Amino acid sequence: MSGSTANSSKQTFLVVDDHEAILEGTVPALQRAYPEAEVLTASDIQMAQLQMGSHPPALIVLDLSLPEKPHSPASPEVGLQFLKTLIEGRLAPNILVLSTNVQPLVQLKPAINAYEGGFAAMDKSLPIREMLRLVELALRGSIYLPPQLRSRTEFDPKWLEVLTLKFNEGLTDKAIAGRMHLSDRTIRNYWIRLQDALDIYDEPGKELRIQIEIAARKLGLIH
Amino acid sequence: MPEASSEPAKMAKLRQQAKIWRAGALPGLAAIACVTLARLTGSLQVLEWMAFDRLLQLRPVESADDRILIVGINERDIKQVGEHPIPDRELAELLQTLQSAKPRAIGLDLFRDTSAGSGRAELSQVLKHSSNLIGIEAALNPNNELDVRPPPELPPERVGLADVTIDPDGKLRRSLLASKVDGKTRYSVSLLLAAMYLKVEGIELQHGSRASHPIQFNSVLLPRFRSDTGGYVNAKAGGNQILLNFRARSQPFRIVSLTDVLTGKVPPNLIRDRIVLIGMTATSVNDTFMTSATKGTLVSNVLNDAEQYQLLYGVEYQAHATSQIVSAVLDRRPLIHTWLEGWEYVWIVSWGLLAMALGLMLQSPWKTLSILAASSICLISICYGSMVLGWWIPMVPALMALWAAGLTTSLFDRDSRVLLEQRSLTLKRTYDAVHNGPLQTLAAILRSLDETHGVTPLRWQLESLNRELRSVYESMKQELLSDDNRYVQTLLPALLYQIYEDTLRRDLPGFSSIKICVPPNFNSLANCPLTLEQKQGLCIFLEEALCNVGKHAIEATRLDVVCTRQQDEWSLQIIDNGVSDLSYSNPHTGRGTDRARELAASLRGKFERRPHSPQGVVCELTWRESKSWRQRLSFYFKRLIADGS
Repeated sequence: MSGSTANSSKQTFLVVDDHEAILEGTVPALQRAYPEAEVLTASDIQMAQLQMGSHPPALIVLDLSLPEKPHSPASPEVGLQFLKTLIEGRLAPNILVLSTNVQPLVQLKPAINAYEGGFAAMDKSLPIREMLRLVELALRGSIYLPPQLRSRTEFDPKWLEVLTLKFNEGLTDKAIAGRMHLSDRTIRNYWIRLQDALDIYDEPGKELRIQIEIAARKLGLIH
Repeated sequence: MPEASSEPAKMAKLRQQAKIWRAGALPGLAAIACVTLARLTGSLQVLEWMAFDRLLQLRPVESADDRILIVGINERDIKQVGEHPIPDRELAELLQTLQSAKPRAIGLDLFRDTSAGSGRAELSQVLKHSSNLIGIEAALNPNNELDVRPPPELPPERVGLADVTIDPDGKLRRSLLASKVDGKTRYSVSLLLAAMYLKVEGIELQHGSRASHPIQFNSVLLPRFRSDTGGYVNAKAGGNQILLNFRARSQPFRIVSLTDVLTGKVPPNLIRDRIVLIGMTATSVNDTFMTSATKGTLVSNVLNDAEQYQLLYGVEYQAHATSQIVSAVLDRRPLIHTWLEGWEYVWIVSWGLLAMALGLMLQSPWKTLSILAASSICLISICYGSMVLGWWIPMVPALMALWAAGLTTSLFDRDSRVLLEQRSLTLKRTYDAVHNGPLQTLAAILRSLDETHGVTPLRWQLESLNRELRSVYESMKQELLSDDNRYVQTLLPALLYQIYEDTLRRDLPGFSSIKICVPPNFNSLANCPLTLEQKQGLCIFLEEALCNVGKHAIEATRLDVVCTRQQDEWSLQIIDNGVSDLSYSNPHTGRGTDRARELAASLRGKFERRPHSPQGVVCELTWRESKSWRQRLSFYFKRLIADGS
């Protein structure tokens, strides 16, 4: 399941939220679902950065409305700015955004589509079951955005480039990564996103990549 | 957003903008009106006179006028003769000596209606036979008893008026040219002397039948002083008067004394062909005027003090008045002109309006102050330069309008801006508080309820509470982003993403068949210098282009929105692969197309709608980063405003 982190040592999850009540709900649920993972918490940006420095997390569960420092006022701009640095940074953890207002994420959509790690966003008031489902999606490398952010299935130009390089030029994943100046993990996650967008499930006895190719040709994504 | 482009919303926006302008413009207009009113009632007269005198005084030094010689009878002469007034015999001797050197004209600026001392017979002879001599009389006093008759020996055509009009502040600024006395048009000494001098040059005085008719030598018209000339309000402009254009020099005329002439110390070539003016230059004789417009007078030169005001001897005044006419005709030296009253007010109001525009455009008080100071320097320079060229342009009222309108506008504008800022700050705080408080708590409660199943009515109620709270929260957000705020405060990419999402969610027939959406990346537009109107235009363009796909594309399966930047060229493409109906492919339809063209023109770019291969339509807008300074400036100003708020 944890295709995102190669190392076999204990996975680290980081939950960043300044609301005690939310942390109380989220942390035990995560701990129960992922008993082998270590769940850390942070209630402001400073602390989150500190935690990330010592334990690079496989997953960050992030609220958008956050204080910069302890006791400073929380604001959505601060969280959004932090999210931007996460997406542009080298660490590329899988991310789940948990917020009462996910609307500001709309401007990050191209960056999210191209992001190396998995990314999911959800409204905070949704049940914990939903959160665990999205954690799994994010850990897998998929992208999930709530309907108000993504009205219909989208194919990012970068994913389409992967398709073309693979099926029209016959390159290996490694070569594609080299051509596009991206990491192997990014290309691997792009495949997962293509698979999600084309609605293809891993079925026994079927070659996944061939399934993708067939569907893509049918849609006219490649000629 | 669809609302932004609909007609009622536009009207509301226009109305709101008008309101802002009214609020911003009214105080400034009131200030301009006050200045105008003050000038109309004459309250600014004294200040304008001071400025007028000062500007005249500060003009560059001119050459001396050697066409005029002043014979000044000073204290030493009186002592020498031992008598005052100078007896007729000495005067006759002086005139004879002068006449022997053949001057072109002689102005006798002394009252000699009665004889003084002995020798009247000799003087009478000289006066009768000097056809180039002009005497004086004072004939314009309201009370006839104050009038002084001319020497009886002189025929009326050789008698000039010596009357002078003094301004209410006691200073001399104009000279009389002509007036009606007992039903006859009479001329002043200075005009008669100038006419006599110019006649020899072959230039005749041209004047209508009435005193107030224009007076002209060749093409040179002597500008008549009106009651509202320049800064004057309701001045006594009777007869035909002219503003004095004092020769800007501390010793503008050569002055010799009576003794100098009588003892033969004055070389005849200084007298020959000249205008010789004879008058008193003795302080004991009360024939002086006040002025502060000259660079120097005989008295101020002696006292070595040209500050404050100077005393001008009557004969010096006559020299200035005569000299300005002769020099204007022969040397094209400027006389003092003024604008018509109406234009003066246009000028004053224009400076006020300029200041208002600056006050509205610049947010910081320091910037406003410095730009007002710079404008003042500019205005003063223009007025000074014009004065050098002979034009008296209103300076004081224009300066007052500039500062009054500029300061009030920026003051009131700041005030309303501060209010608006506070309002949006309060909204933002409340918004954040709702976000961080109740909504979070509610979220936590809803989640924990999920753990313990079976409390459905409570859950349902809590969910509806959640929705209600959110609607308050959303309406606050709408308020925050209302109208211009939306375009000022939100970055263009975020706006465009939102429009992309919102539009694709609309229930349009063309969207239903679309299986593939290739989403855009608008982030490069963040650095594109655009004005508010252009930003708004781009938003509407994207929305309409997407709607066109939704309305007109048939069986489209793919929709690409591509936003690229190559060096300084931007392009925004909306590409579908549907079959388009006819009206859509006809490029001459619809307001949307017109609007896109307007936007392209404003961006100095290109709008194009062309077929896409193998099928579909490409709707494309391309533009270059504008190098036009106007656009950059306006972008810069808008940035300033955006940063300020």
